[in-house]
Amino acid sequence: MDNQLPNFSHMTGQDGKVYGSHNTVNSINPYNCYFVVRYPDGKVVRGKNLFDTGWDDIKDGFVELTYVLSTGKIIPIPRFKAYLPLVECSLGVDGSRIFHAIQVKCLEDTCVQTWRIILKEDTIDTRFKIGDVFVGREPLPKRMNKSWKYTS
Amino acid sequence: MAEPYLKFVYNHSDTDSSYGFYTGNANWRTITPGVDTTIFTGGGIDDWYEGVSDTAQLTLASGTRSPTIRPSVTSFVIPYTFMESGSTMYRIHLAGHNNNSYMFGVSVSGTIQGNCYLEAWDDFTFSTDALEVLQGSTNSSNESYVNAMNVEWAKAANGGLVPYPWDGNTAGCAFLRGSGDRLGLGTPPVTNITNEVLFFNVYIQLETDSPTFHNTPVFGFRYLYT
Repeated sequence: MDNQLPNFSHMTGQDGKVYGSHNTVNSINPYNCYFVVRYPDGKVVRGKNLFDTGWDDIKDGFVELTYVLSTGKIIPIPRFKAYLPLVECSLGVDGSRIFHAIQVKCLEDTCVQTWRIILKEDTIDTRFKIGDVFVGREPLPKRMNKSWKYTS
Repeated sequence: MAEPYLKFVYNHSDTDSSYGFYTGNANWRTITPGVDTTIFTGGGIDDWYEGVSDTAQLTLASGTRSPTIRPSVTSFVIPYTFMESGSTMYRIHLAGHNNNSYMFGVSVSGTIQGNCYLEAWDDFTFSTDALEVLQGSTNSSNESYVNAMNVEWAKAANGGLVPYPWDGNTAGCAFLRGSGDRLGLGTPPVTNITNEVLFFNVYIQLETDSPTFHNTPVFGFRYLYT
């Protein structure tokens, strides 16, 4: 099985402008978006990028989670019991690709709070800008997989 | 985990057999993203296809197209599906409005958290769905003309058999238009998808009030990963 990552097509540069027939989408640069976690002893671990986030290599016990976007915006996530950050992506059969958002699932006692960090903006739907955060809630998951990482 | 790797494949034969994640299948071909194009064509007067033998390995020269005539009564499914690749168009025999199982597949190497969704959009901005084929018309109940089936899900919901006839309203199927009308490719309940091939079928059905159009929508797959 070929595990080569698909190309990040149709991006013009670091600003990631995508020209469509009706719309122009501005996207973050996925190579320069990452998380940062800080442990109680002051140790800081930085993630990689949106293709290979590095999240599953993170050990439990950190006290702070922050996202850094390629635009320079820094988004601190409040402290919760555990986190599961998910990258939301669309891949076209034509090889094109868009990163929509990072959905950070945050564990509370009775529910999961979802912090949705927007990674693109366009000229038609102007409600969302890169770096906007929308907070929602969803029920507790039936099972917690190993990608959930617990704070100390 | 890193982003999962998705490989798109199609069955270029009349043998309705699956594509194995580890074993593959010699009858299947891999879609080259950015090069290959799915073509829905045929059904016109003096159709190029008339008189051509219906052999499994049928190919045509790249660029071959036949306009489909809008039906005067009821509706009409665009009859032929090809994959245009370089100088050749490869027939996808088993695709269409039928009860076949294995024609299109997406091979997921790695893990998708939750479901993988098949969507149809105007273009690679994945943000608008204004094309005529996606908007449909009054006679399609304003649903998209693009009908898609998650084959395994539809079979599970129909006693193990592929339902026929089927359209976007059938269990395990959807009309494709943006993210509002899309098709989950996992078989519910889906927690994640790991090292698996997901199979789907697609056809386009025109109605008597179809506008005249030549559209090139983009099929996209939306998913989550850590």
